[in-house]
Amino acid sequence: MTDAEVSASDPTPVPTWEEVAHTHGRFLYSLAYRLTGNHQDAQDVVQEVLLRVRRGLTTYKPGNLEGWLSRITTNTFLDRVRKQKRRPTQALPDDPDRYIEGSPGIEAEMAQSDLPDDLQRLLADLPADFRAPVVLKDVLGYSYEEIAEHLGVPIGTVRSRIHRGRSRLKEALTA
Amino acid sequence: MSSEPLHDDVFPDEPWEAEITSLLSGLSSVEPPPGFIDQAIDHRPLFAGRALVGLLAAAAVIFGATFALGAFGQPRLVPDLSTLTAGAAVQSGSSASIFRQPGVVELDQLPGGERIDLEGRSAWVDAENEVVVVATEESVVTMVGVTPDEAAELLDEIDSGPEGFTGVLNRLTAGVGFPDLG
Repeated sequence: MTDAEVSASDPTPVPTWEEVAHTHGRFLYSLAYRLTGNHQDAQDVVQEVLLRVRRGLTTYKPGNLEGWLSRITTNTFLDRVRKQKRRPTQALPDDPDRYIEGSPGIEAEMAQSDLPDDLQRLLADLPADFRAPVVLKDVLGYSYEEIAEHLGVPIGTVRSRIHRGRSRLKEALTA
Repeated sequence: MSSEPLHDDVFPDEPWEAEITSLLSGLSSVEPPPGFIDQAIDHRPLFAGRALVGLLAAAAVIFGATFALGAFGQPRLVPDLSTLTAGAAVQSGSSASIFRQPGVVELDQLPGGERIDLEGRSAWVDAENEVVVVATEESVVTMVGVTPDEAAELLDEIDSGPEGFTGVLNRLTAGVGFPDLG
């Protein structure tokens, strides 16, 4: 059976813009909040994402919808950061080999703190180019390959940025 | 299939990284404010985010300063800025809005920013690179929330006359068919 025949016999309908908003709005908002660190910016990001989705659905091919949405959300966030220049990104030396020494028991050290709020605050303090891949990897559980595709950067860069982001979080959490 | 080893195999996560991952993966989903999604759907053509409001405020400052300086030959906003803010201030790929007013502008007298050339047209961009004022033959076009490169993409259509300008506004309002400003 050809691809065309498969497509004709089992068509997966493209959701409407409203369906995407209703069904995935909470996912979009949660991701936007983890990326931006506050509700106001999260709302701005989601609004912009929904507009991009509305336009993008005309060419969207049914598949991993949440992956598509998370890519749009992440890139919308990064575009805004770059455009608004609220937090100039730092230079990102691309050296995935550079690791820091681990220390046991981070979770135990932080068990007494108000973790969700503290963690979100520290996450928001990360440079955007670190924060986005860390959120995609550790909050949403995407693979390095998927994140590289999302962000359009080499997998080594993704790995380096995630490692550096995590190391900054670790330093901040144990400070 | 590629024989190249996966990056994870070459550089496995350190143990402490797994702890960070464990903490982050435990973060709960964040709920949007009640009614936010419905409101976003109901008001889809007009998403005036805070960033856009800020840019509009910046544009208003520029307009005000411009009038104070007497830079416009015909200091009259058509339509009124407040009307434009309500009717044409939209987000597309990024926060963007366009104003046009008849008359001429003395770009050198605009506050801050710098003179630029946009495909042969005299223009001015603010210091933040987000407000572009373009002097066309009989009108002044102010684009808020676009970079000079993005503004250049819109100029041909805008210069084609009132219909072209209206077309740009309509597409901005609809949020579709607009050049990808993001």
